[in-house]
Amino acid sequence: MRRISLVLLLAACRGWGNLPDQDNVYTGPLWDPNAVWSTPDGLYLSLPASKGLGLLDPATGKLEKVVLEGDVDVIRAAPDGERLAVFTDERVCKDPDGELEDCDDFTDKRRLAVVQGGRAEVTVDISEGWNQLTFTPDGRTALLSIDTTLLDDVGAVLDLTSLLAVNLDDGASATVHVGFAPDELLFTTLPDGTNDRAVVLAYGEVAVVDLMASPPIRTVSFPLVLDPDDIAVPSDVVLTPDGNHAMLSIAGATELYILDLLNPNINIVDLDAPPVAMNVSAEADNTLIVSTSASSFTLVDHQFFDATVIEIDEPKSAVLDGGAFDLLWSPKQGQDVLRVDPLTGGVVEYRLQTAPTQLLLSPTEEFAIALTAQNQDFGSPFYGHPGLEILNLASEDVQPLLLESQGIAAAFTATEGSLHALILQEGVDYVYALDLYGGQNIEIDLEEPPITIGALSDGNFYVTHDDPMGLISIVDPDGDVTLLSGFATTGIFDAFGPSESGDY
Amino acid sequence: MWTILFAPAALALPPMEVAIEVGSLHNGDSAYDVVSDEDIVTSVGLRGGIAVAGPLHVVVGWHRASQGASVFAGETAFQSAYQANEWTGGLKGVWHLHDVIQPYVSAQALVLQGAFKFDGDASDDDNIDQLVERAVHPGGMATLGACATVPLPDWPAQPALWLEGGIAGVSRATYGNFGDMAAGGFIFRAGAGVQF
Repeated sequence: MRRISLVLLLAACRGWGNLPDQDNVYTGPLWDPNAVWSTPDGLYLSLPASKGLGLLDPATGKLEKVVLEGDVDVIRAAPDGERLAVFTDERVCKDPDGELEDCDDFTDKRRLAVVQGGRAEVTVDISEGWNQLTFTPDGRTALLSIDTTLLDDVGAVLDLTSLLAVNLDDGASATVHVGFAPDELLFTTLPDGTNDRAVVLAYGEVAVVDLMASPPIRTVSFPLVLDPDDIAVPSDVVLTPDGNHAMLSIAGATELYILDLLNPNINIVDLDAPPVAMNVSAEADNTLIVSTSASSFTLVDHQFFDATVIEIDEPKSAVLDGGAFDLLWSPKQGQDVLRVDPLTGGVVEYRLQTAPTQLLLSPTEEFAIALTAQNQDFGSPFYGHPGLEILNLASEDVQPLLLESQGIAAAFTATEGSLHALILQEGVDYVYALDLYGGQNIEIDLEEPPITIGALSDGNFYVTHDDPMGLISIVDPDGDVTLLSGFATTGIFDAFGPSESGDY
Repeated sequence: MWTILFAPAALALPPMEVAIEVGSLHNGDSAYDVVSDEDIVTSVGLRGGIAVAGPLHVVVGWHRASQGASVFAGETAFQSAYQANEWTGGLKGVWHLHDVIQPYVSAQALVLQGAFKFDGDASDDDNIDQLVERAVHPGGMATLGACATVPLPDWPAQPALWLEGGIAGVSRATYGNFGDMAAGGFIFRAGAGVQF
């Protein structure tokens, strides 16, 4: 009797490190450290197991689930950095009094919810199939289309040649027939920042949608090629600042198509080499074009569309828009980064120790950070190591730093009088913080190896970690780290409950 | 021990019983799936009773449930545990059919005092991923059972076995941020002890 009582008492007092473990249970990830969105509300997190969305308060570590109708399918951040667009699915019994578990006759509801302030501000019922979303840069409108490659199965008749325009302020939606399956969307901008038109492109066709009309309507549509059997695959497209012309490059072709969107017609400008990237300068009113097959770049003015070719040392394949300047570079190829003044065509060359894998521009456009691959130059002091190089865009200075591991991401925070960057390296359990004004750089130790980093609106950084119950480090640029842990267990019972979309 | 067994007779106390029990309580709530693939909460405990008027006995009991699992959440895992005290108290009506078998019915209040625990690293007694939330569920249970005794007239106490089943239910209660849970359905208890 005494022995049995002792066993019972021990069973009653099992503590941490000695929890009962008789079973294995399975669910999806409670959260995804790669799916985190920083907004002024806090950090929105995808909660895959419970098919939900959570809002984490970085100050308290408390997670609140966002109440949505249905299960979360896709989450997209609006360009204003303040709102999220969330596609949800819900299986509903047609009998309003029926329980879903016992229902034989049900229907699937798909919705688009605009989330801000921790709640769905606008919810719009949409048809099955809409799965691609493009925001206008002003954040007023979302244009939805259908990508059939993302559809598991098709349970209805789908119109692939239309767009669904959703006003994110009031939830009003309208279908816009463009006549072909959209491939790419661009937007024209009025002086007040409002996006008034959408330019819709697909294989061989262009249409213009008036977004200011109520409901939005297609105004212009014309083919890129005269023979419908010919297919022209756009590789890049930009709009002139006045929105009257689209400049479109075709994969592998040296011709630059100038589309007049007001009086539909096409002019063609012959270039020396096939364009691979373009960037429009509003200030210079021209477009800079680079090609991988020519050691030059081209400036095309927007008035007469004359091309001016400027020779450089090596071809470039990417352009980073710095506002008053363009940064020309080639991912993983070439050690030069060029700062180009689009007004004059003047070039400043920054010579890196190693070819960059990423080039990131600070929000103040004063500095750029190049994350470089492992150096293969035997004679270089950087040989065998990846690196980080800080480009001072106000001068020609480059500060190279050797990294312990490959740099995979960087985030910037800018507050009045300070500019910091946080560098994430692959598989190391610290981040490197750069004080870009003060020049004081420090290593900040973390509890676990980081997965992703980002900036918070208060000037701090967040770093996510691969922890099943949730782990995020809030990093002060001075090196103070606050751990937020366990938040993904909020609503954990829902992860084991029935799904609202009928999937289990 | 002997003092206790002989006490009722020596002090002319009414008939009493004590038992060690095992039990199970149905829990079909999806919240319980976080610690078990089964919908059954097993427990061990103690029960005591005393006759108060004729066939009526007052019975009280305490059971302890302790269930845990390794939770595989995608490609990573952590540990979960549910630990609960089940407190019961009520009346039992016994039908003295004969000296060996005594059927009975009981109606008791049931208070379930539960705790869900999650541990991110079971090998480390002190890590940041140790979370616990507790809740109390009031409820009740009604059972039908039988007691089998071995008559030993010269002994102050008789060995006895109990077997009972019925229905039980406790209210829905919230475990902090984890969510809420209710429990209820079939309840089963079996025990071994003495009557004296």
